[in-house]
Amino acid sequence: MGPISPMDEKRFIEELRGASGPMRALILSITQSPADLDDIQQETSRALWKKIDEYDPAEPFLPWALTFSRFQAMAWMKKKGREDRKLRSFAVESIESAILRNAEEGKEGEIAHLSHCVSKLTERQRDLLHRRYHLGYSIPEIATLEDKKSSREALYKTFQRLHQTLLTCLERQRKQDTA
Amino acid sequence: MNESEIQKLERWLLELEEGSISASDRADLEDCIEKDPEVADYVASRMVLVAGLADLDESILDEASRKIITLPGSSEPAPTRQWSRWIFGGSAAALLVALGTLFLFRTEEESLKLVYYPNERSGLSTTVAQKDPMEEPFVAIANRGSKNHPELAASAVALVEPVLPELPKTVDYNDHIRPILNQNCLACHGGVKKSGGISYLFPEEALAQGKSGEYAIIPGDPDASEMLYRITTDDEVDLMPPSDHHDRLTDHEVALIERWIEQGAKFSDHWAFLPLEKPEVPEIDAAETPIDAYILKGLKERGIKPTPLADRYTQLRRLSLDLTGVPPTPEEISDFIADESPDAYAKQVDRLLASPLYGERWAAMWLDIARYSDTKGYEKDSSRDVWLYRDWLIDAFNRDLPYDQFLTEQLAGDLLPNATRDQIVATAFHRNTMNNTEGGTNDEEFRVAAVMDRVNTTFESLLGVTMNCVQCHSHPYDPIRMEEFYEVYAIFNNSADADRNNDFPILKTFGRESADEHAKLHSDFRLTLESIRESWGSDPKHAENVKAWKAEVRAAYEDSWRPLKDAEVEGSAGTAFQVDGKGVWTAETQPEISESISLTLAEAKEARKIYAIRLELLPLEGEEAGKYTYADSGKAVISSLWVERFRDGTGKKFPPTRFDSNAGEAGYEAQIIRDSRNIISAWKATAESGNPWAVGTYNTPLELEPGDQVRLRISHAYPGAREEVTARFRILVCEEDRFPFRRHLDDAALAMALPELRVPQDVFYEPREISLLRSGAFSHPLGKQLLSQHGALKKLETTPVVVMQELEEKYRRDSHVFVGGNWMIHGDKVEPGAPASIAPWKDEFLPNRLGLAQWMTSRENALTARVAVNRFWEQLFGEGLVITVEDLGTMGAKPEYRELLDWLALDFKTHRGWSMKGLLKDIVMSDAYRRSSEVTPELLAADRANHYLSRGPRFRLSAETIRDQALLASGLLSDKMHGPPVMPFQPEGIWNSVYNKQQWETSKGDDQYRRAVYTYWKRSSPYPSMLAFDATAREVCSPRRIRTNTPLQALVTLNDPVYVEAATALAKLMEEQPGELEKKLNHGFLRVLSRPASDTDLDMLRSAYQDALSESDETLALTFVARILLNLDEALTKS
Repeated sequence: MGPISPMDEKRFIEELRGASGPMRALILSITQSPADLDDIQQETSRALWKKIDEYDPAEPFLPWALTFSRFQAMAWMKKKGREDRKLRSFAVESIESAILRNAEEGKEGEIAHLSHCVSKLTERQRDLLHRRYHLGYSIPEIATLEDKKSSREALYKTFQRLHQTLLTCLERQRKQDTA
Repeated sequence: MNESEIQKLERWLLELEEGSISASDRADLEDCIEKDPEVADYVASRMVLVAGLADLDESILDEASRKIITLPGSSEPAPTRQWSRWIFGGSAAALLVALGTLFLFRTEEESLKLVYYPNERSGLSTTVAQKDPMEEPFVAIANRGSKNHPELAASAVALVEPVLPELPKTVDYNDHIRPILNQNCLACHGGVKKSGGISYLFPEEALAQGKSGEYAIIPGDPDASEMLYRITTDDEVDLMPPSDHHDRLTDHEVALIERWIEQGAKFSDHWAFLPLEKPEVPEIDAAETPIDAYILKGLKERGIKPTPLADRYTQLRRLSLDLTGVPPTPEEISDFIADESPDAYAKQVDRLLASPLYGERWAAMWLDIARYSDTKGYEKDSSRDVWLYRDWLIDAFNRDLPYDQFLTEQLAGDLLPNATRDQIVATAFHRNTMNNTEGGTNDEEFRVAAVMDRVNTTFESLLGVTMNCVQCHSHPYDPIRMEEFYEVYAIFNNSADADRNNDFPILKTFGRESADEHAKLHSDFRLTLESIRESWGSDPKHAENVKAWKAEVRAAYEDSWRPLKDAEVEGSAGTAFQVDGKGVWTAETQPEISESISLTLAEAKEARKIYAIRLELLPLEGEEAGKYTYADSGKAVISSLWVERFRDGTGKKFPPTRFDSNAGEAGYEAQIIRDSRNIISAWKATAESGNPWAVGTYNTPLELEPGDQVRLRISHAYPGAREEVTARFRILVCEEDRFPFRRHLDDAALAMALPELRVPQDVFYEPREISLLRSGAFSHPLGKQLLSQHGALKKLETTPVVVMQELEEKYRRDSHVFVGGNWMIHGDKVEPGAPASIAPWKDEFLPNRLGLAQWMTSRENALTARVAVNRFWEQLFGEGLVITVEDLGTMGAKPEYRELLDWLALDFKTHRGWSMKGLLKDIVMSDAYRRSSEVTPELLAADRANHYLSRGPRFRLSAETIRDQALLASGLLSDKMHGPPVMPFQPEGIWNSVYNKQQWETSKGDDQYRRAVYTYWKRSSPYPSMLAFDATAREVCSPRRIRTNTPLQALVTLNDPVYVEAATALAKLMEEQPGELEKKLNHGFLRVLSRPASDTDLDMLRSAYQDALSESDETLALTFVARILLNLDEALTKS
C-alpha cells in the first residue's frame, strides 16, 4: 500500500455523489420525512467535509458516510422532538447494513433508472406519487381530495403496488444494464 | 417474502411515513427488520426508491408540465451495444484466441451450421456467429427474472407461434379459448382469486351467476353474456381486463370468444388429461414406421421436405451416445460398417439396449428426477447412504423393469405384498428429500417440507404438472384444487421418517458382492427356521410358554418399583416441587420455559444396585389425562435425561443400556443416543395408552456404595417445545436383579410382550423366533444353529440405505389443508386422494402410496404415459414433443404432433407393456430419428427450430456423456459397475464440510475413471466440471435440464485434468497404432468422432501436429492433436 494521500475536493465530490442514494435512503429510514431530506443531506455533506481529515482514504467511503448520515438524522429527529417516532436503533442498524449490502451488490446505481420507470406509469399513478412525495399529502388526505373517490384502503393498496412495480422495474433495468 | 408479506410490510411503511402506525405494528415491523435480512433488504431498496421519488424532477410526475418536457434520456442501454459487449468482452474473446486452431479448423465447414442453429438452444459451443439476440426468444426470457414462472413459458411459446388471423369455423375451447383465458383472465378469475365470484377454471363456476347478478357466459347468446360486454366496453371502470395493468383483448380474441359463446360455449378438458384413444395412423406410403407416418404427414401439410437418412457412421454414433451414453469403439464401428444385412441397424439397436452401459446412461437421467444426492442438503449437508438406490436404478433399466412397475416400486415398493429387499431399496426414490440437521431447526417443519417435496416431485417429474403453486392456493391455470394437493400430501404424510439426524428409517442390506453368499445362507436359515416353527407350532406347551413369558416381561416392566421420595428436587429456574406419599412430585408453580429439573437422592446408607429407572409422567392435579404440562398442547417434551453418580465429590454419568417408553409421537420415541452421555433424545410424551412412562434398563447395574449420591436431571431444551416442561412426575427404581432387565431383549421381543411400547420397527421383517430365542427364555435343539445363521446373515447386511417405511396404523397422522400453504395453520381435514381432473380415484385404490401408484398407472390416467414418452423423446431429440417436459398442463407448450405423442403413449402402455427398451426401440428405428441433421437455408426457413422434425437431432451432449466419452475414447474408462460413489479429481479447496471432517479424497486407481453416474454428489457443492455442463445441484427434482452455452465449458474440456489425462492416454493409443502418421491421426479421430477422417480433416490434423512437433517431441505433438480432437465441436455434439 502506498502512502495515504489526503482526499482532495474532487474525489470527495465524486464519492459523495456515489454515496448520495444510500445516504438519503438511510436518512429517510430514520426521519420518514421526504420533504426534509434535502436539508438533512446537505447538513450531512457539510459535516463530512468538515471531518474529512479523519477519513482514511484506504477505507471504503460509503460506511463512513452512512455513519454520519445516521447521526445527522438522529440529531434532526431530536431537534424536532420526534424521537418517539423513529424506529428503534437495532432496526435502523439492520436497514443500514442492508443498504450497504445492496450497494456492494451494485444496486446503488439502480435509482438512475427511476425516471424511465416512472415514465411507464399511467397518468393517475404519476399524479398519486406527485401528491404524496412532492406535495406531501398523506393517504387519507389524498383519499378525500381525489375526484374519483377511491377508498383509503384502495389507495393504500395502490401505493403498495406502485412501489412494487417501481422496484421490479428498477431491478430489471439494472439487470439489463449488467447483463 | 411472499406477496402478502410484502403487502403487509408496505402498509406498515406507509403508515410509518404518515406517523399513523400503531405501537404494536411498529414493534412487529422492527422485529421483522431485525430478524429477517430479506425484510431489511426490501426496506432498504424501498427507502432508496422513496428518496429517489422525492428527488425526482417535479415535471416528471406533475402531468401538467410533463407534456411539454422531454423525458431525460432513457438510461436503458441499446440492445446492440449490450450484445457486442457480450461477444467481444472478456473471457469469450480470450477464449477465441486460446482456441484459435480449433475454431479455424472447423470454421470452413461448420460456420454455416452455426449460423443456422441459433434457436435450437443446442448449446453450440461458440459465439462466433450469432444473430441479433433480440430475435431470440430465450434471450428475451433470460432478461425477465424467474425462468420458471408460467408467464414466461407462455410468452416463449407465444413468440414461437404466431397467432393466425382468420377465425376458425368451429371454435375449440382448448385450442382457441383456453389460451386467451390463461393469458388474460385467470390471474383474477381462476384458482387463486375468484374476483366478482367468477372463475373460468371449472365450467360449473364459469357458467354460474357472478356477484353482480349477471351471468358471465350465457351459452348461445353472446349479446346477453356479461363477459362479452366487459371485454368490449369503452367504460373504463367496467372494462376487463382492467386497463391499468393489462392490455385490451385484440379484436381477434374478442371475435373468438364471441363465436365460442355463440356456438354454445363448450368447455373441454385439457388435452393431456384426456384418456388415450387409439389415434388413426395416417397412411403415408413413404413411412417406415407409424412415427414416420405422423411426421411425414405433418411435414407434407407444411410443404417441408425432410432430410435424407444420416450416413451410417453418424447413425451409429448417435445411437450409441443415446442408448449407452458413450460413442462406439472402433471395433463396433467396423463391425457395423461391414454388416451389409438389411437389419444391420436393428441389430445394433438390440446390442446397445442389451449393453450394461445402457442402465448407467438412463439411470444418470433419472437421478435428476429423483433429486439424488450423496448428501443430505441444507446447512450441514453431510453424507447420506443412498447409493444402493442408484444401483437399483441401473439394474432396473438394464433388466427393463416395466415402467408401471418401475414407478410403483419407487413410490411404494415397501407396501407391495411380500416386498423384497430390492423393492424396499427402490423406495429410496422419495428419501432423496433433504434433511435439515442444523442445530435448532424444527424437525417437524422440515419433515413437512420433505413431504411437500414428495408431492411436488411426483407431479412435476412423473406427471408433468406443476403442483407447488397448489400448496398455497388452487392451481391458477390447471383444474387442480387446493384440497387435492393435500389429498396427495395425506398419502405421503404417513411415512416414518421425520427429519431426524440419523436419517431413520434405514435398511441395512447385503452388498452386491455378497449376494450369492447371502442367498445361500438365507435358504439354509429358512430351512432351520421352518423346522423350529414346525416343532414349536405342533407343541401345545409352546403357546403357553410364550404367554407366560409375555406376562413375566410385563410384570418386570410394571411391578417391583420403589418410588424415590427421599430426594431433593428443584428446578433450574427455582421452581419448587413437593412430594406426596406415593412419591409424586408436583411443581408448586408453573415452571419456566426450558426449565430443567434435577433430583438428587439422599446419600446411600448401604451398598445398593440399581437395575432400572422408571420415569412416569402424571397429569396436573385436577386435569384430565393428557395434560402433563402447563403448555397448551399438554404434551411433555423431554430433550434429555441424565443419570449421574457422585462419589467422593466427583460425578460420573451412567446412562442406562436401553430405553423404552409406552408413548411418544412418531419419530420422538425415547431412545438412547449412544455416543453421548445423554440418555433420552427428544421424547414427546402423549397419552396414547395411559400415562406415559419410560424405563431405562442397565445391563450392568448402577452400583452405589455407602455415601454415594445419584442425581437425575430432566431437561426440556428441545427447540420448538420449550414450554412443554414436565410439571408432575414420579421416578422409580428397580433394585432387584429381575428378568428381563439383564437379558438382551430386542425391539421385536419387547413389542411382542408389550404391544403398547413405542419401539422403532425394523424396516425388514425379522422372524419372531429369533427374538424369542435371543431372550434366553426359550430354547430349541436347532436354536443355536438358527441364531448363528442369523448372525452370519446380519454380518453380510452392512450396507445402509435410507428407505420409506409406513407408520403403523395406531400412529397414523391426520392431514389437513395448510391455510395459505402455512404448515402451522390447519384447515379442513383431508383424506388420501389425487386430482380428479387427471384421473378418477377409484374405490379399489389403497389409501396410501401404493394406491397413488395404482392411480398413476391406471387405465384412466393418460398423463403418466404421455409424460414418460415425452421425456424419452426429449432425451433422444433434444426437445420433447411437448417442449416443456415438466409441464404438460395448460400452461405447457403446445405439441406439434399431439397425435404422435398419444400414439406412442398408448403403444407404450398397451402393446409394449410399459417396456422402456421397447419404447426406445420404436423411436430409434424411425426414419425421423435416423435422419441427417444437415440443414439448408430453405429448410431452416421452413423449420427453424426443428419443431416439425424435418431433420435429425443435433445438440450438445450431456455433462455425463461428455466425460464418459472422453474416458472411453482414450481407453481410460473403467467398466466397474455399482458400488459406493467415487471421487474423481477435483481441484483442491472446493468444499469443506462444517461440523464433520468430510473431505474430497480423490479416489485411487480405476475409481478415478468411473462413469460420471458414480461421482459423489454433494448438494451444496456439486462436481464442478459437470455443473459447467448444466448438471443441477439436485436439491429438488429437475425434470428438464436446459442446455446453456458458456465459455466455462471450453475451459473444462481444455484444462480439467480428466480431459488432459484423456488426451495423454488417447495420444498413447494413437502412437501405438502401427504405420504412418496418417494412420495414427485417423485412429484418434475415429475413436473420438466415430468416423474416418476426410482428407481435409487429415490435412488440418497433420498441420497441427507439425506445428506442435516443431516445439516438442512426437508424443507431445500427438497429445496436442488428441486435445484438439476431444475439444472439437463435433466431439461435444450429437449430430
